[in-house]
Amino acid sequence: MSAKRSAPPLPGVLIGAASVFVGLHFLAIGVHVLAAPSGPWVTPMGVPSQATGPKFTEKLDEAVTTAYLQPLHMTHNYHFNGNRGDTPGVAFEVRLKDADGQLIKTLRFPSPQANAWVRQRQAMLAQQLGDDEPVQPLPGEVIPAPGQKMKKKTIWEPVGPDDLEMREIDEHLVPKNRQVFGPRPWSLIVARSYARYLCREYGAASAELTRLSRQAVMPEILFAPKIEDEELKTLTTRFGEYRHEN
Amino acid sequence: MKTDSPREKTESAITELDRPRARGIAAEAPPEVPTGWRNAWVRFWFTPTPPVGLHWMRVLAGLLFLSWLVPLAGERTALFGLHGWLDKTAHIEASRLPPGAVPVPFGWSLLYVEPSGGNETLVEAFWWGGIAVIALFTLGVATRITGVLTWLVIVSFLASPASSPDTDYLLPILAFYLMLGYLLLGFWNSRLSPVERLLGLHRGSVFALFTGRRGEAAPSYAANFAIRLLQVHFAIIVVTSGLHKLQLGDWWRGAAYWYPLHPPLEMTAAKLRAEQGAANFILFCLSLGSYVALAWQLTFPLLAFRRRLRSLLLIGGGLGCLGSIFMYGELTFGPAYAIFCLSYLSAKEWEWLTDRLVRPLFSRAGTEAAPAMARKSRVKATT
Repeated sequence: MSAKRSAPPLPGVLIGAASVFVGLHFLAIGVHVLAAPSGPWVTPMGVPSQATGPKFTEKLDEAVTTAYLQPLHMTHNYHFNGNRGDTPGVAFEVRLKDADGQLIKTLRFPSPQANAWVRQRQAMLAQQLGDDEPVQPLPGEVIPAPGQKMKKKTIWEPVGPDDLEMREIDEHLVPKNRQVFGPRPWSLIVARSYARYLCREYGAASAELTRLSRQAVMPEILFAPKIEDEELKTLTTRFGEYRHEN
Repeated sequence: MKTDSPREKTESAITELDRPRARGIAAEAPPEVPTGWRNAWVRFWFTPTPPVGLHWMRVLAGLLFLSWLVPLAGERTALFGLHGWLDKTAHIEASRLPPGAVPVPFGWSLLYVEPSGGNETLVEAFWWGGIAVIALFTLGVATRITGVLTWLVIVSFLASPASSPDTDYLLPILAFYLMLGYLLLGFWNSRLSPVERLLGLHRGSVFALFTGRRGEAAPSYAANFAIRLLQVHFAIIVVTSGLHKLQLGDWWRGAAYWYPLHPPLEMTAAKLRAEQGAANFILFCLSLGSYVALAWQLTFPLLAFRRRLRSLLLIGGGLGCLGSIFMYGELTFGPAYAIFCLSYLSAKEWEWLTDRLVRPLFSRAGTEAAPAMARKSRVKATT
């Protein structure tokens, strides 16, 4: 029970084993950190883009992440999102309706009524809906194979000034005369899941989710001769109506 | 050995006269430290240290874990259940996405189990059980077991679509190394009773830590090893984050702190117009601040492992904590950062802090309680 005042020396075998653990552990973390994509860097194409990690880390990173870091939940590469300042601000609104299409409730997230910790979680959820991806049009004319349907793409279609609506269109109909964006598959999964949750919670028959986003305000705006509210435009993006019975 | 010759006697007398001075010199001279990378490695990782630092880290980390979970009590099933914000269907759909398409790395969770009572029952039981386990670990009860359970609870509660990949993923690092430390603590250098062998040392409890005498605990290899793992991992995090910042133009031009102070959805033309008069001053301060932060991050290993630069490390950690809370609204990241910074304090520094900050409170409480108890007992005796 009583503690000894001086610690007996550790045997060499134990020191060796612990040293091997330390070496391999930090090798796994180091490789994962090195394998992270870097940038955005300027490319010869003129468009800034992220660079992949060095090739020598690729396979090793795959192996250590799957076998070691994932079970320990240490898969972060410490390239924190918070380091990127110019991410857009995102909130969302959900309109819940009953079976007759009557509005039951409109909820806004992050909710001012929630405590700071829950509000932070709601803000994180909103961020999951905010990251759009470019949709590339197909080059040339495309005809589906006999008996096959044309593949579908989900895009944001402008329906008014600063107002976008989600549309699912045939792949060959993606407009070629403008840059087209669409929601990421992960954003769609989160949006549908949250709509299902709210329908269950409030006994609603349908939920319509609308994303409200605004680009980051650049510091240069302070030197503008005039600052008007019109310059701070909020973009409305409609994820469409989710029907609970579906 | 007895000296007989006159010369030897004289030498012996001089030696006797000089002994106190020689003893003083020997006490002042630093002990001879073996050199070489192998010895440095063994000294760094395998020097037994009093576990006071490990105990303090446990208390602070436990409070952080509780502050991370308890405020979410009202939304526990929504956030963590399979019928909540991200339901079972969504989990299945997400598992079909290609790697990297899910920005929140879920991994495994004990909350994915769907027992016969339903997932809500499991979440309820796991929630309250988890809070209790973390509280016991914080207090230092059965730390060998509660340490492992705390890590399991923390990683299981990461499974939420609303997890912050920046913040929440620092917590398993703390929990993992503390778990390792407490799993091994006392096995090598303490004579343990069978109960202590199973549950862990009772000397690490909060009460023993705050009321015990200075230097009471036996030096421990496990305490040093766990703290060193924490320190090295955090140094990697800070330097990597600093290097990542160097890849971004906003850090080079010193505008990075502008954005969290001007959240897009809260900005109005009137607010921005009000700042226009002091635009140059604001941007000067923000750019200076961001460069100081960058310098701190990139020189972090120097600050962390040089004792005379310790104050810079702690000031930076403290400012980082405040900045994270008040600028970014991150209620967990800042305190986690500060706790990681405190892990670089030596056992002596922790003892010094405990002596000045905590033990006086407990001894004062003890001395105040003692007369009251005596009065009570006198009253009892007279009645």
